[in-house]
Amino acid sequence: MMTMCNHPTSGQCRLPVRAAPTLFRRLRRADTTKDVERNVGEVIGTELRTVAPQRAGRSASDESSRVATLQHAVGNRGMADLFGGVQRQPVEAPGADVGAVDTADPATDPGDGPADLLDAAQVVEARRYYTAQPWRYTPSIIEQMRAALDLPPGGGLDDALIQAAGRFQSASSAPELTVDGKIGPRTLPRLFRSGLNEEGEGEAFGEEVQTGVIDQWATLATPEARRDALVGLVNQPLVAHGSIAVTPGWDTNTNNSGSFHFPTWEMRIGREALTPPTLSADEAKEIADTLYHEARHSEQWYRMAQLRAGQHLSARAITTELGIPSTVAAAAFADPLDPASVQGLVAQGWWDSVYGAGSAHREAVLTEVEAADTAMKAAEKRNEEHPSPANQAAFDAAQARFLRSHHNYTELPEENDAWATGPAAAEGISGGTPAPAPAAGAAPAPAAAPEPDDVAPVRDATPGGGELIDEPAGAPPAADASSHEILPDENLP
Amino acid sequence: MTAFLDDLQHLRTALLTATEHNHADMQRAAAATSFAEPANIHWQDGYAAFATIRPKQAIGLADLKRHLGAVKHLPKSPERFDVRTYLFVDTMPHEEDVGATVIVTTGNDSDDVLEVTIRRDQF
Repeated sequence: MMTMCNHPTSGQCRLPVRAAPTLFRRLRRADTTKDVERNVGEVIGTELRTVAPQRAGRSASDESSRVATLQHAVGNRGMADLFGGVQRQPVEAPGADVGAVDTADPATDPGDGPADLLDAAQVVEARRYYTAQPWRYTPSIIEQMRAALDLPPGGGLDDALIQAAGRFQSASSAPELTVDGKIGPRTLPRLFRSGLNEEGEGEAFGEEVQTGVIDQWATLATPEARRDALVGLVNQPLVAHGSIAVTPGWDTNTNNSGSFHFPTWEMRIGREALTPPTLSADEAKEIADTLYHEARHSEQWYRMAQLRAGQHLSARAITTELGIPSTVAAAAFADPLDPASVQGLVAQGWWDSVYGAGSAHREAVLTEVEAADTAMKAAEKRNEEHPSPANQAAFDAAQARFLRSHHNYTELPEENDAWATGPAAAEGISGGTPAPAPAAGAAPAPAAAPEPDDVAPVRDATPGGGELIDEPAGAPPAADASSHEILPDENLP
Repeated sequence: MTAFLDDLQHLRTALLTATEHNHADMQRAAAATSFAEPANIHWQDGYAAFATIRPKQAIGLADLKRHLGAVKHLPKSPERFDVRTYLFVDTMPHEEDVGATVIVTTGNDSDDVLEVTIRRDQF
């Protein structure tokens, strides 16, 4: 996950008071992803002009601190907030309380039957999405979708299913799902929770991080000990849910607070985050969120390996195709995922994005987000060192480019899922590191400065044949190549 | 280049025979002069699971391909956008064999090898 907190003096990153409420107000009015993009772009431009109306005359440190805090707002968990962190309000039925936010999970509490969100054309398009992929949306899968949306059985792909899917998408947490009635690679894992994204799992992990690492920060003493303790904790739910433990490592990319390196099955964590002698509550939440986000990626990769085992690839072929260690491939081979199951369909969506027909798009998106981040930092530096309207405009443009690229990145199915999963761990964090105990005879150390109240802590197969397949896939296994096609995806631009 | 390839081969061989309690050869191979610093070795279940090194002098992916064979371009790891990763398929062991698979990373805009990982694989 990308972090760009680079406040020049305090090391703390907070969104300017004036910027925070404006950003969230505009986001609450946004109805679509494109609206969010436009709104955020407009807001960022407005805020930068508002907070620095006479940019050429302001000091570089003033500007860099505001820009840095806004940059941090668009990194990591901050991005989750910017692109739908506030739960969207569903369309109110006539007479409904306009100010109410419906937080009910439509899968378990259909509530009072809010108005349909999709028009006739959208319903037709959504139905076509399902009927064009009968090998994926089998009668069994459709029945399970109906059950998950609390619909009576036997209705097939009726309007009720499609509208219920739309309502479910509308009530989703960040990153927001496009409301189109298509239960595809982004909606499926949220509708059919499994493993680390099951209810309560993330928060339980966060509580373990609080007591086992945050509260023991001084005792653990070194970044290595803290890293190893954190990875030890996240391995517990991974193994408990039938996935594979990860190995701790260091992430050398200074843009990152953490990453999952599947060739060596490492959870690589940014040393900088684990080095300070104390942590604020926000910093502790960031760490928990990052760990859980990356752990979810490891779970995804293992499920993809299990899926390919279920599609009759050998362990060696899985190792070659996915690039994962042979030990992980062997474990997956011994515990295959049924491709026709719901979790098989979930894993198929991830595989399509990473290794299948979506892989070139993914590569381009990830390359662009890195390039856009680098360009934004360079534009910021130029503007700091040589403030001018032209350099400010260039920085605004670079920031807008970055926001677009980051949005595309969070729309990748495997990232969309991890971004939706990570924040649950932060919910289990109750505070920062304890104040250090005073030395014998010394005055008690001052408590850590309280969080300012008025600043939002914004932070960014396939069916195979019966024979074992031992060749690495440049293409999916035979029998039915169409099972790996990417059909019009629910959220493709 | 020749020295690096020789050192890499020594490390690959040593990795396969090393154990946590008997790894003198591995230590010597890990400290080769063509490496920017001694190899970072990860142990798992008593064996060297993988070792990571950085070349001291610039080496291109094309140079390694001439000696180690064809590569498979792997997808980017999650949240690691600044590098490309390649697996040398001919270095993987065959079925019912154990071997030291070679995986390298380069920058997005350059073929210069940033990091080489030697991973113990067994089928």
